[in-house]
Amino acid sequence: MRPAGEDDIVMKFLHTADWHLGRRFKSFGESEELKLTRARLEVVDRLLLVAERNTVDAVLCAGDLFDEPSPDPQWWEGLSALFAKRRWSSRPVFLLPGNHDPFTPDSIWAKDHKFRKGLPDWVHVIDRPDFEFALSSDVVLYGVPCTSRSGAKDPTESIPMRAEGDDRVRIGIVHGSTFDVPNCQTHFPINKDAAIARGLDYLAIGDTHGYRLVPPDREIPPTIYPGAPEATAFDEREPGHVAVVYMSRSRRASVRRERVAHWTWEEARITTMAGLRDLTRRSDLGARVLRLQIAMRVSAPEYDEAEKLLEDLSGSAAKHGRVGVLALDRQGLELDTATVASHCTDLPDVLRSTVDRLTTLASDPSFKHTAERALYHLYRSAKQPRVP
Amino acid sequence: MRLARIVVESFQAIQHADIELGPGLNVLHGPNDLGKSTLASAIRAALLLPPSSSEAEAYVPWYADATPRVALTFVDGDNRYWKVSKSFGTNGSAELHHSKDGLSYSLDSKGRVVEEKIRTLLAWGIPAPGGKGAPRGLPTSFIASALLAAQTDVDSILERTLDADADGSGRLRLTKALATLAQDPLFKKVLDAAQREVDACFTATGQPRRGKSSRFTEATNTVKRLREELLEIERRIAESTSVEESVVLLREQAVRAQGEVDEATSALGEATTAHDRALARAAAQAELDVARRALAEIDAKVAYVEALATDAKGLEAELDAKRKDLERAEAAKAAAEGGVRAADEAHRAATSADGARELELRRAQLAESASKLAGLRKDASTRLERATRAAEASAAAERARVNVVAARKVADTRKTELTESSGRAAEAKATLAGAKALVSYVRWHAAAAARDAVERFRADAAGLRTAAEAKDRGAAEAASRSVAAMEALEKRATVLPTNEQAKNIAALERKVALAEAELGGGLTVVMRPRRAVEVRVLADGTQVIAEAALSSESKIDAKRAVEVLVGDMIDIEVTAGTADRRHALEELRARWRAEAAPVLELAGIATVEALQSALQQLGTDRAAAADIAAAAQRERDEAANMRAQASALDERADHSASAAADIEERRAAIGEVDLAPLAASFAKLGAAKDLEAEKAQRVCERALIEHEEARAKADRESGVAAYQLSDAETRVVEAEARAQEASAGLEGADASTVRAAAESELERLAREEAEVSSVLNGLEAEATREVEAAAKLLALAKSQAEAAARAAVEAKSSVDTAHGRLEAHRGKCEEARRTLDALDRTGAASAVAVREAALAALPEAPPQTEDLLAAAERRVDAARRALTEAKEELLQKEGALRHVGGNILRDESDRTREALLGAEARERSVETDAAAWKLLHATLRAVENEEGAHLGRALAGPVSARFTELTGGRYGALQLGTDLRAQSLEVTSISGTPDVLARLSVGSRNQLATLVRLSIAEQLKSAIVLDDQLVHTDGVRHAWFRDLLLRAALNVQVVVLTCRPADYVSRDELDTDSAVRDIAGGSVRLIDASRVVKRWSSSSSLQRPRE
Repeated sequence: MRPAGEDDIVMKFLHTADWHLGRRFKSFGESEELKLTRARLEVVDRLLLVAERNTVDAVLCAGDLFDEPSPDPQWWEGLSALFAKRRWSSRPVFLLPGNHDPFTPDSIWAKDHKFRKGLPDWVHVIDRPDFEFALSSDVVLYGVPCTSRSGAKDPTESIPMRAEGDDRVRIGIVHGSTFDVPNCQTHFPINKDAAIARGLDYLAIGDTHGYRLVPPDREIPPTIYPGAPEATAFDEREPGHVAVVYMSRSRRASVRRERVAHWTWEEARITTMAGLRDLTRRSDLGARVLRLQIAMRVSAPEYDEAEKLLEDLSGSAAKHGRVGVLALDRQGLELDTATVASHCTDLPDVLRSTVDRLTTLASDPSFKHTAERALYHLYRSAKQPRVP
Repeated sequence: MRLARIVVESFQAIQHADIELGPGLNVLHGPNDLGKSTLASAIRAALLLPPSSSEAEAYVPWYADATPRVALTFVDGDNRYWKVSKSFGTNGSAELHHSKDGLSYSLDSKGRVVEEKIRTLLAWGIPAPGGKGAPRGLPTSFIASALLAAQTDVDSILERTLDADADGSGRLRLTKALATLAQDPLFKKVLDAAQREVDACFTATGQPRRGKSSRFTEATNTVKRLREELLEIERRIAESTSVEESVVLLREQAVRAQGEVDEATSALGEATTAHDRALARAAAQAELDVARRALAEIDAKVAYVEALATDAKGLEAELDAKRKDLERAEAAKAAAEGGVRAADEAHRAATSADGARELELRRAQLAESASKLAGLRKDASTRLERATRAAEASAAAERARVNVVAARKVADTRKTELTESSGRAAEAKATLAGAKALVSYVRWHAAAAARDAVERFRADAAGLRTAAEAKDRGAAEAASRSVAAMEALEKRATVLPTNEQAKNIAALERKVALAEAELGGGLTVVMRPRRAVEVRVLADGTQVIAEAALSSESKIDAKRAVEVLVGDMIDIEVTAGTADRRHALEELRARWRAEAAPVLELAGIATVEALQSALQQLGTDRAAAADIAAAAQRERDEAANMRAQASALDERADHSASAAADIEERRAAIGEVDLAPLAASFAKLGAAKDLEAEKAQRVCERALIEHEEARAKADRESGVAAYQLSDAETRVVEAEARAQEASAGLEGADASTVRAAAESELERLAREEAEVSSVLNGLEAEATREVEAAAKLLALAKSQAEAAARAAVEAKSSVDTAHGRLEAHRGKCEEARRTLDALDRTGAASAVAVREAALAALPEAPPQTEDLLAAAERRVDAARRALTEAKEELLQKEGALRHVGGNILRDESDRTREALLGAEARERSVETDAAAWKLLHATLRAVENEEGAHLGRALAGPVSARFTELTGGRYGALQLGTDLRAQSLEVTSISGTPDVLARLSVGSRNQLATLVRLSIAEQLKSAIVLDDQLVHTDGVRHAWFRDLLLRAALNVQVVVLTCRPADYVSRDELDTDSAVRDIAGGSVRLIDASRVVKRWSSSSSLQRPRE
């Protein structure tokens, strides 16, 4: 879709969702997890910059902005700080509670909550099902918040239908699952024809973390998931975007997606030393969240080299790794035990005898992994230079 | 470890003893049977025996009924003071206090924990008490035997083995102490690396370490935590899924129920339409029947009028016949009068001259008479016919009367049926009223039940909310406790290092110890003063000589350094080891001061071991605080769930309240009737009372309709019967009129009589005709007789003329009667015609046509529409109820749905499962890695053993050297196994001599055992108690031992219990009045047991003799 001519535009807005501030990433190590959790707040700053750069008239945030309804203060304080450093009196921002952060009396959205009370007056919380906001004389916004984690009612049913003679641009913002999402019936199901049924010219939705149109073949009127601005998992398709939307006088929406993510999530499987060496030479690893699976059988020196390369990728106590965030599965890294002895001929007899014994043990399946690793420890302990 | 003080009370033969021991050689001397060995027993008991052990029965005092007590103060390797106090017996007790300065003590532990703590401190290879399979009695081990062997057990150390220890701590301690093998440097490097890793991963017994700093712990705890999280999430997912599936199912059910309602409503509409159509057809048919009956009645009246007209014509004809009869009778009268005149003339002729003419005239007269007789015969035939018709009319009237009787009977039957039908309808109406009252009662009762339920639901909801608030309060308190605990822990954590730091400190400590050990090659400084000088000597930091005027030769042995301070002249420091090693040690010590000491100081902890314990405790406390927080969260979740249930109950209460809102109207609907019968009927109803009552009402309504219809039908049939009766009666009247009319011609005579008279007259006339004909035929021959005959004929003619005159009178009367009847009939006919003229047959026929057209215009209706209608109504009711139930349940489940996690939980589950898989892989990796190090270590050891290097050699070396020296080179190398068991002893003078260990003399064996024990004590830097070990040793060797012990006492504490103190010190030194005396610069302490040990007196024995 291409933007319409500027003269024809009656409204520009940025559509984003699923920030998940405060989300934990349990499968990563402590330091890696910190990188990913911090990235969630950083990307919000970037997407607000995108809004400024595109001089949009409004920013619509379609739910799941926090990972839970009562997040740790550091998250809402961080978001408050991002708002506080902007003076957007003519660019309203609309925050919609999603199913992860539903509007409940003890949630962050409660009117007496510090976060809510500290928001600038141009930041609006959509806190009732009949929310209606005139963005201009020609454009009106309708929003319906989630008030629980699950629900069987289609939130768009609360949006009034277009009245006869109403020729304003009508925009809806809700959070929920479209028909093609598993368990959508109890997860705020959104009718695929909701935009048409309610007379909306654009339906801004949130929940799915990848950018997509719903249904995929309908561009007018658009119903769009912008996806999470920073990915949260390896299996998400096309995350990391926001939607910049142009509404024309004829009520046609033109949508352009813009990437805002810092991190790119990638999965790789390495089966050769050459492949591992190539990987370590890549220059784009710093911004990668890499799930790396090693599956190869190597000699003792190669094993040692592989260990060093992997340490180079993952980092150590003394230095950062080359990969931004590494999830390493090294269970497939095996030592070719048959050749260890040939690399230990310079060792004293007692150690060579030990190598022989361990090599014999490694042929026993029940001791294979332990004996392999013991051989490696012996090899490395004996080969590494002595510390004076 | 060294012993500082022992206080004994009521212990076997000792009533009281209080002994402070010096740091070096302590010679506790006294005569036999004074209690020296008892003191050794008391030391063993204090360190090793649980106070309630049955073994302690042997400690009870011999002369008193008192509780044996021992208090032993000892100093550990970190210069911490520990005081263990035990009271022995069935109710024995133990306490352990600790102190930094030996002055002020704090309670460390009590009871069973004391044993565990002491055994941990000692690390002598004795497990904590109470474990499965733990030996009873006084526990022992290799090290315990070495350091605290009893007098009767002098050389048992040569038989003992490390393998017999129940705990691996003794082996570990010895291994560390003796880790000075002459190994290949690379091998040692690999072995050290393996040992470090094994030590870090496993306990001395080979079990994985599970402490806070253990690498297993972190991995295992992570896996455990993630598993628990996953289980909890899956449990919540199961709840969530259950609710979600219920919502989906109920939604589908509600849609189906709505569909069923629509379908049933549609079917009901169709059935109602069909029913209305059938009713319309029935009404149209009834109207058509009415119209047809009206038309038929009009047609009947037309036929009646036409019949009257026909009858009038008959009467007219009859009148005409009567008139003709009259005319004929008049004519016959005239003829008869003419005959009389003719007969009179014939008679006059017969009697006159003109007889012939008269005869001729006579003939003519006879012919005329014959003609008149024929006419009379015709009249008689007419009368006969009329009489026959009158008889038939009479018979018809009789039949009509019979028909009237039959019609009256039918009418009576119909009337009876109508009465019965009306009665049944009235009964059905009453039954229906009862059924309606029961329905109203059921509805009123339901409303009352709903009203009651409102209170119950509200009360339950309030109870749940109260419970939820209580849980919230509990959760808040728990959370507050958790936060407070966590804050305290975090505060404590700020002064504690990280695990990594602690690990580094421990590694540094090991390195320092290793460096010190590597430095400790040993050195000896011999001072031979040329004159008496003030000398102070420190060996390895411990002052060993402090003489104001040292003049004799002094020899100082040290491991690492000797510092000699000669007056104010010179300080000499002699340090062992190479410059590199010293430098390395200094660097390590500098690192210790810079890195470790500040950390320990900040933490207020003296030792690395205590630091690790503190970190472990911190972790345990953090986990406990986290558990409290998790429990608080669970409480909060449960409270939220209870509130959801309360909301659902409120919704049900609201629903019930709305159901109970019209209770007064429902009561009014029952009416002012006696409720008792209704209650009885209500009680008989089944579970679905409303359905059954409504069903009964519908049955009654149908019955009423049926009875009303039967009554209407009977009414209609009764009307028809009444009409038929009326019609039959009319026909009787008409038939009787016709019969009367027919018999009117008979002039009141009976028809049969008239008929018989007519027949008789006909016979008479026939005879007369025959006579006239006979007269006429015999006239010629009987001319004479004719006169006579003429006279007779004249008489006959006169008679016939009289009869004819009478017949004429009769005929005239008949004409009058017939005329009267005709006029009456005409009046009746005129009345009927007027009635008919008042009726509109065309209109009636048109009405029939219209009704037929209307009926034809109505579509055919299916049969049994009433049943279909009732079934359709039941179906609609059932469908609506199902819809209501489904919606209510859906509402409830949707309420619950608001409180479940749904896809969030599934997402959380996926992430947790992924994290768990990673953690399990890490755990496996850690375990594999640790197992690999262990395997490597074990393999290295096995190979090492096979290649000749083992623990026993380290210990055997110095022992062999000393024993060789002691025996003047008689014996060579002592062989100790890897488990430190003495295996063999070489005799140096005889090459290839077999093992002589078993053949040593008692004295030599005791000496060898003492050397082994002393070497172990030296390696462990631990106190050793020698209880008259050398009683079989000669003076020379005893002197050698005395020197050895004096040297050894510079490094370790030696406590000698002896009855021959002169074997250890000079007699001059013994010649003193003091109970305790320090000599040799404080390195030797003489303790007079007879002064410090108070035995029970004989009076005690007399007072409390004991067996």
